[in-house]
Amino acid sequence: MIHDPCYYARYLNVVEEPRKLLRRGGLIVKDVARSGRLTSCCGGPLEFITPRLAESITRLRLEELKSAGENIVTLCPICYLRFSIAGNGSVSISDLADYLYTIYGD
Amino acid sequence: MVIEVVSFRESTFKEIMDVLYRSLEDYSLQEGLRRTMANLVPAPYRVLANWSYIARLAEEIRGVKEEVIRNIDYYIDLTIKNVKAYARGEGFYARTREDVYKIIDSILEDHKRRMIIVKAKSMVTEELKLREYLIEKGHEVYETDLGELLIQLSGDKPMHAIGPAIHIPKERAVMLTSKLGIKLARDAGHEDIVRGVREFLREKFVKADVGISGANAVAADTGSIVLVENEGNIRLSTSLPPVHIAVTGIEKIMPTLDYAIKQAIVQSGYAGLYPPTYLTVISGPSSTADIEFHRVYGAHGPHKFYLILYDGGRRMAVEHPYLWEQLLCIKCGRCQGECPIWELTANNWGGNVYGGPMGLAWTAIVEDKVKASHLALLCLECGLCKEVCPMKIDMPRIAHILKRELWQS
Repeated sequence: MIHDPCYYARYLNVVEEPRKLLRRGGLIVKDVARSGRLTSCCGGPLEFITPRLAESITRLRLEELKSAGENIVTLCPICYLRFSIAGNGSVSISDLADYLYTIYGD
Repeated sequence: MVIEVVSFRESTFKEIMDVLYRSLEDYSLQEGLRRTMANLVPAPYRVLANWSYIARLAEEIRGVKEEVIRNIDYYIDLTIKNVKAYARGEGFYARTREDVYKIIDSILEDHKRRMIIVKAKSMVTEELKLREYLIEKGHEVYETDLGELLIQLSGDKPMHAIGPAIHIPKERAVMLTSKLGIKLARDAGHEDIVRGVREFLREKFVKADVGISGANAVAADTGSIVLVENEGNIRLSTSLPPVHIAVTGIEKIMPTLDYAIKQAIVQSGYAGLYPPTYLTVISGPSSTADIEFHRVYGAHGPHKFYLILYDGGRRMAVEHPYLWEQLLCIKCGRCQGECPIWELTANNWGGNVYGGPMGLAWTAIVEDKVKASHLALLCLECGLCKEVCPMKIDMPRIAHILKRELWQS
């Protein structure tokens, strides 16, 4: 389950690349409705202005991601951190690099 | 680009945050939003997948709208001229809210004193506080769009561009409509509420002296207005009363009637309400020449048609280095439903009339730029609003510059 970061997907148009790399490693990649260029923000940019609102946004997005798959893969350190904290161990959050190392490392 | 420095005001920011935190705890709002979002957000995706020409039309009209905005004075004059020439009505340009009041007063002066006025929903009349003004003047005014009627009864501000009452769950709607003497069971369903309101308003439509509407688009070449709706209240408001006054923003002007119709189609598609139940073109008062080819104005529809083109800060925005782009907005409200902040707060994140992503620049244009800059501080700049906007307005960039102007201080 990939959570596309806003910056990668919409500003840099990086959507297919991480999916290709994971699939090439034999993994099954799933998507929620709001993914790719239509991904929904993790709430990170609001963390320092209003943590409370940021948390509500993170929780909503995490629920959406959880409803579609167990293992969530992020590409952005901010998304990674926010989901890890909000998930509090209830769900597996990994960075793309973890998978890439497992697949292609050494 | 010239940076206009805006000073950060702790009190303004605190006010904004108080409203937002209150809305997070408002059970009725959160429940209304949760139920609405499930229907609101997926709808445009289905429409755009089914009717692919809508996205193409959106692309086509963006360029046309840019051309109108660059030459707005020309198009205002042309429209007013053609309202007279082809639509046999009267067109006005109104710079300020007071100008609109004056024009409407002078139209109403010609008629009897206390009038029954039925109104179709229009965000521009919300900007003008037109309903409140006319009631203060002693007239009896009814909003006829169900959502907007709920807003009139609750005193809330509209919470979405096309669904002003999306924050009101049906239980609260039952309570509100009881103010009109509509008697419903506490557990009345959606259908019961709609029936109750229909029965109440039917008599008002028939008795009304004046109908007031907005316009989704205005055609400069014919002086026509185009309206799109599903309830049928706009058709009744604009055809049963003897006088019809349309009030809309100058940015709704399109060069020709075909583009005006295209704009209404795009608006309805991106709002997720497609095909529209009713798409109405009004080019002046009703008339007949069936007896001896002698034309008589006022057949079954109104005998008078007035169009007021409201500025309210828009013409200034034409020259503005970045706010100008918001004038391309067709107010479909799609950016609102998609925004992660709006999803939790609705138009509580916004100015008095416009909220969410589109609400930042609109608030700066028609209301208060300082407030808009403070509201912009909350924008995630995630970019989803721009992605889903039919006009591809760069709202994240507008938010970014509004923020930067604050940081400079």
